[in-house]
Amino acid sequence: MKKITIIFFLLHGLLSNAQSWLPIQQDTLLEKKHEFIFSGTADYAGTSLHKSLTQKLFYGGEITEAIKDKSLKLHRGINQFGTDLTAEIEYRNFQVNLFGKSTWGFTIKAGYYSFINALYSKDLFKLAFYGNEGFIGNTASISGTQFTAYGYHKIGFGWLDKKSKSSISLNVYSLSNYSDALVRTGEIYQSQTIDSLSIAFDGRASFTNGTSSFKGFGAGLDADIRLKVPQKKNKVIYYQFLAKNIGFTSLRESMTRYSGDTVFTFTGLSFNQVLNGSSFLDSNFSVLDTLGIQKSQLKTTVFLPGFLQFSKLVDTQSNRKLQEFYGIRLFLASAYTPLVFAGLDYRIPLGKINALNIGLNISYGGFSKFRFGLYSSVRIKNLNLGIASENIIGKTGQSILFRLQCAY
Amino acid sequence: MKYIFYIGLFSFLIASCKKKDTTWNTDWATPIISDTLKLNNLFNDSTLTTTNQTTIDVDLTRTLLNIRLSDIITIPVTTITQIFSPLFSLNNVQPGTSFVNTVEEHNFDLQDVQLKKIRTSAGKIKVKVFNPLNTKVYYTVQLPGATKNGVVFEQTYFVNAGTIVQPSTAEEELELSGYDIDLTGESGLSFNKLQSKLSIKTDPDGPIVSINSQNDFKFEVLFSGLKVDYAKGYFGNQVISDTSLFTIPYLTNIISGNIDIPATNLTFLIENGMKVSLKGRLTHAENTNVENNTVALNSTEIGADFYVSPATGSWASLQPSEQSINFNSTNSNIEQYIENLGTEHKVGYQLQLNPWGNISGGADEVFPNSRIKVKINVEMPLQVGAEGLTLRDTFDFNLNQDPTKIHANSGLITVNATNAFPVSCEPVLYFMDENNFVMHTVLGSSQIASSILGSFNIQSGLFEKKSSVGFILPAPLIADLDKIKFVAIEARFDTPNGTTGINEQQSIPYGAFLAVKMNVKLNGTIVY
Repeated sequence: MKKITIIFFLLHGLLSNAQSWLPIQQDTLLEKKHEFIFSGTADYAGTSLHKSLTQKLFYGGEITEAIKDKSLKLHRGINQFGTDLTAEIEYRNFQVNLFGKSTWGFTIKAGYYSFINALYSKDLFKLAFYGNEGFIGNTASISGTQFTAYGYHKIGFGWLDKKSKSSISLNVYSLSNYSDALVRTGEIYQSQTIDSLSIAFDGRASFTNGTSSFKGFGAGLDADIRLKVPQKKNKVIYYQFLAKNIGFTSLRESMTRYSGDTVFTFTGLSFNQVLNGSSFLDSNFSVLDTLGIQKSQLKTTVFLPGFLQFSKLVDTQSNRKLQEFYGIRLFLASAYTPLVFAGLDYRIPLGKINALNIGLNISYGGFSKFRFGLYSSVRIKNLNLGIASENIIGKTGQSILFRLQCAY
Repeated sequence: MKYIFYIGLFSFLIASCKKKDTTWNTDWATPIISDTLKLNNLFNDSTLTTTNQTTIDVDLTRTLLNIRLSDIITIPVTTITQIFSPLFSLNNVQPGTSFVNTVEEHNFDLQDVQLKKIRTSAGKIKVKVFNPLNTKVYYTVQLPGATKNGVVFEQTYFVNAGTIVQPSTAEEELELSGYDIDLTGESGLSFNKLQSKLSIKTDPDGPIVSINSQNDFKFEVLFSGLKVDYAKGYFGNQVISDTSLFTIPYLTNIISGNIDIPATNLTFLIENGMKVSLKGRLTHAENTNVENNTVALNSTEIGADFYVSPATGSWASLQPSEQSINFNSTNSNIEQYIENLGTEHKVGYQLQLNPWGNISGGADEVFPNSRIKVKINVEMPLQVGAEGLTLRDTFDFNLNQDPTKIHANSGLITVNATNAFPVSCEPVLYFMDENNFVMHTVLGSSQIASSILGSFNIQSGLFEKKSSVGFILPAPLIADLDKIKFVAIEARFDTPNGTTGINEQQSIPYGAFLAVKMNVKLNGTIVY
């Protein structure tokens, strides 16, 4: 009953905050025959959207004027926002000798990934959350807006070096959802007397249709390369180059694209238009045609938002209880700036094998600016459980990461 | 207990996964209508005219009756038959022998109409010939009085051999438009008579045959759908009488109030474009307004006979004769008649051709452009006095919104108007359900003021008055949008004096306009 209660509260915590998890970038590999790794992340961050507003978007509820105002104060000309939701399971086999080589094993992995990447203007935020009434007599600019959203599955199989723990896997991907938008020029002018509305637009928006989870298929690779750099006094430093989801998918079904390069001024309908049913009040009226927006269908190749990271690892075999770690991370996405991070890890031995690691880190970049993180992991015999947040005090995002390793 | 806990745990997990709606309020503004109502558009049909570029006159003309030749003369479907039967037997008839039948006359049944000449504008002729001889025969059918460009109607058919019991036939249907047909017969003094002639010739390459009196060489000609655009003769003295009904639909929107118009002339104009005498009579004229009040036009001219001379000239030089009957304030109750604002009008008339019989000696003539028309014409200065004249028009409305999706909460419609008419207007909006029950009434925040109260604009040369009228759409109204099926716009018009405020007749200036710019502000909730 006690275990059930613990699981209950654990699941409640997970489900009330996020749907999936990402791995903590700490390596606590155990040298056994088999290893299972469950990991997940729920991370959203931005330069300007206050988390009180983002939480309402994710979990529901009324976004009050006060909540909107909090975010508005944080907005600048151009703003970033992104989300990264991941759930992944990996199996590593150290027992099998792949291709007859005693140092080679194999790895099998599967996962689901959702990624949103957005660059947008302050005016777009005001339009979306306040409406256009605040722009009476002014121009709202949404130029430079970029948005991309992905949802895809992965199954991979790869080579594993038993000694260094490096691995390379080839993956196949199934694209379940994709949408993008690009506004090269977007300006909306509302006259002071509300007698004209001018729109200048040059851009496009595309999205996949239907409910199928297999809208596109593709291939890619993951690489986890461990580098052992000898130091003085027989000491070594482990570095890791991690690449995930470097690949593409090709659409099986056409996606819908709306595009236009138009300047449109609306000063109101004439009485004839209203009475003769040739206005937007009539069901046959096409707003898109009037605005000069073309609709088309196209099949294209979608490059996945691959993940790249180079970092110094914490060596679980080191005699030092306090170790530093640092690195640089990049998502292949327009709104994501390279993220640098650094932190300290402190190991508290709990017997001969077992240990508790706690750490804190600081990062700069990504979808936001400075972020402070905290983590802990505990190793109990064959299990290693880690839980972390890369953003514990930020106003504009939340992050939670989870990793469970089981080796035997 | 354990099962209840598991069920509770499962339910909680499911509930935890369900995302509540995210909502937030936004405020939007957009123009809706931008247009200018001008009377200039109505100048095109000469309804409104001006002679001094300052004031406007109403010159309204409507045609009540428009009769052409085909309305008074109809050529019935007619079949003519001609048979040639030898009076005695002929043996050893050599190949290529010809026989010519005499010209025969056939009557068109036109009752008391006596036509001497017609020109066809449409119609068909179907010719069928019968050969009872045991050799091929050439049939030539001729209509001697029917010519086109000077060429007589003639058709030749080469018909296969037949028998007396079962003659072989040939058949053809031809257009008969554009033919001049003389109906005076062989004598040239008759009427309604069509001539025909049949010639036959045995096959020059055929055998020697015998012909006897039982061999009937026959043709049939069927005239159908004949229309004529020219006719000469006597057209009879038929009487055409009818009651014309016409409506002025927009006047049905007047629900109360009075209108005052100046002295008016109403004229009935009878045009006779046919070279035939006419006698006519206006039997009655009345109108009924939306309140079911009927006013008859009373005058000594009603019920009195009038005569219209035949047109003069011919073809392109044809000049219709005219007769007008004028109704004014001195000879009728015309002002009362018009101020009744009738929506349904009835005008009865009677016309008789050749009231004195065939005094022209059959010289009545109708040309392609000949018409008999009855027109009504109203002339008055565009000067109107309105006292609470209230118009209401109802429109269908169908705008549903789901409160669980993106929806509006409240709104404000603003009408910015520049008025150059000396008329003020107080607008009201009624929002009604499917049973026409008024659910919400929205009053305009002010009136669209008369130009009399404005200032003179040197550029337009008119007095103009700017007004801004707001219509607040409250939350309860917006909440009922899906129940609202009709919207009625009601406007009360007055023509106040700028000094006294008393309503009086105002002259509508030349170039008067009402410029309207309408916009809406909406508070809405985004639901996602």
